[in-house]
Amino acid sequence: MARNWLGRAALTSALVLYTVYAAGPFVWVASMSLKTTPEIMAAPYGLPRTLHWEKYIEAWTNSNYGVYFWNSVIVCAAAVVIVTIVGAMAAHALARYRFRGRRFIGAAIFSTIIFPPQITIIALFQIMVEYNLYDSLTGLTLVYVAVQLPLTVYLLEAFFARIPEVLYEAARIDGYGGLEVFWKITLPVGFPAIATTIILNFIYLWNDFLYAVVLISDDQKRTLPLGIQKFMGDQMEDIGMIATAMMIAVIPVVVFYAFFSERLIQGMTAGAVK
Amino acid sequence: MATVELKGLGQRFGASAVVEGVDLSIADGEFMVLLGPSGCGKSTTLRMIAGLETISEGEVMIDGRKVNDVAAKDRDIAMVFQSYALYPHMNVRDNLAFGLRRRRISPAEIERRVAKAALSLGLEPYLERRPSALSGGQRQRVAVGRAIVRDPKVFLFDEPLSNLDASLRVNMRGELSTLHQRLAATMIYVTHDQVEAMTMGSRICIMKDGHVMQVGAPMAVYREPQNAFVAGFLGSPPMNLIPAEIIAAGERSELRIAETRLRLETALKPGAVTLGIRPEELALDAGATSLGAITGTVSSIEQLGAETIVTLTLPEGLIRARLDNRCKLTLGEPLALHVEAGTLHFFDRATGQLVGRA
Repeated sequence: MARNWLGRAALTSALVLYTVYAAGPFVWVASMSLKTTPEIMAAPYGLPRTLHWEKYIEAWTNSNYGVYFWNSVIVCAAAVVIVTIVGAMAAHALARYRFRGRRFIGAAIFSTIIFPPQITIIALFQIMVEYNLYDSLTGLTLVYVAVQLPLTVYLLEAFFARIPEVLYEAARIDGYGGLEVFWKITLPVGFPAIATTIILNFIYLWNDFLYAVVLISDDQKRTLPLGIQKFMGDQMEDIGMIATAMMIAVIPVVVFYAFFSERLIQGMTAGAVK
Repeated sequence: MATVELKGLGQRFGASAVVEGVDLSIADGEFMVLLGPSGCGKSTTLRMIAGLETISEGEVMIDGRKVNDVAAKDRDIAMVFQSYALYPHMNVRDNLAFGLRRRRISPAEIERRVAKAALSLGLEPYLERRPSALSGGQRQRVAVGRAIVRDPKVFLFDEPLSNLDASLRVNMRGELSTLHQRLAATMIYVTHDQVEAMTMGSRICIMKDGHVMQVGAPMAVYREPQNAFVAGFLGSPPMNLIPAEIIAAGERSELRIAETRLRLETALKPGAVTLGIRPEELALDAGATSLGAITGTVSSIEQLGAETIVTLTLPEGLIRARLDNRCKLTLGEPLALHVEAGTLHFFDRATGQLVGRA
């Protein structure tokens, strides 16, 4: 009994410790987002005495935040949609068809994963200027697609390759071929993996700062992470407003994750064969 | 309903042949079973008929039309897979209707066919369930239902019962036979289970190493095997195969098995042969047409309830006999098993081909 109790206590403390470690910064930023900067300066870790909800309205209205938010939504949504469709199609082709050069194409796509963005960013900047895509949301979307595509193909191919071949044979006999098989079998059966890549891509792109700061300069085209930077002046940092802006940026990600994680239903293929 | 004809059908991977020179005619409404051990090419043959494998040589004809280059979907066949291959993201209703939707059949007709198939297979309560919520037997029925609703020319079954437990397999065997009688459809059924083959097939095609060894009605194949492989493959226990020698003895022949000599009623070509005799043809007592007795030592007694399988050790090897369950034998005792005329099969030692019966 005592041993059992000890074990439970150890487990609980480990969980509590981890929760504090993981959620602590988030809670701190959340509490700062409801405090004014002088209040934060006075007591950085103190809980807010009065909840300054008006800071959210102020951040949204006074700081062009609506535009940043909308830009982020457009760029991320477009990039995620394109990456998902193109990536899933490429993964389907690589996983299902045995064609000449398949391994080479796979290796070429996956090799780009190893390069850190800092290596390619200058060349990328030149290319975007060359093709009049610098400082445009279309350009940023295309870059996001290019950046996230290899990892998406990599993840999806591994999953699609595990979908039993016999399902495709049954579909062939049922009269389906080519692209129909992709829409009717691969996409629905592979949805748990697709949902995972949607979440990963969306969160990564929503938080991207590097590509946005290099490729966007016009205030009307900034995305949320750039918007937060606006509160960091040369002379002073409005920490209170930065916290509020960060919370506005984070909330959609949390909502998005909560929505999609519901659909991360594993074992969709259980019962397909055997 | 249709006829299926295979002419010199073969499949190769480089120099090695998986299937070679398969000639087989399947009549309209026939239940043809392709039977053989693992790797004999039976599934590959079925998949070539289905259009799922490329054909290296020969022809597949369905209803007199060559379909070598016709896509699987245009061959008007339906297939039940060993693993059922149900679409996991669709419920039973959609699984059944999936193939029909592609063929631009009206929704009302699809609904009618699905309802009819569900009724005949007892699937009505499960139409809204996904495959993962069904038992093995129910999944198997859905797989069969998916084939039935299509009303195809030919039904193909690739070991459909091998994933079911023993009792369910017996039930499904009966149901598939009933289905065949009701639909009177042409069915080709692949299995490695000889009981399935014997009980279900109108005819059996036994394959080995990519070649057809024998084709015929179940009992004909059982009683009159054309080669030692078929003799040794069918039956449980299978036919005894032991080395023996035919010796000329005047107008008749004599068979020598070590010390034992049997007098044959006809004259056969002298020489070394493989003797084949079914375990149930050996008896403790001599019958009216007894040719003599094979003697040996009892080395094993398996009492199966209804019968007793006795293994006799001879200098040439072992012989198993299926005897009455009341026989009283002890291990190590000498035993003589009588052989009746008309039960002996002789196979060539080298080729395994039948050279005579007596």
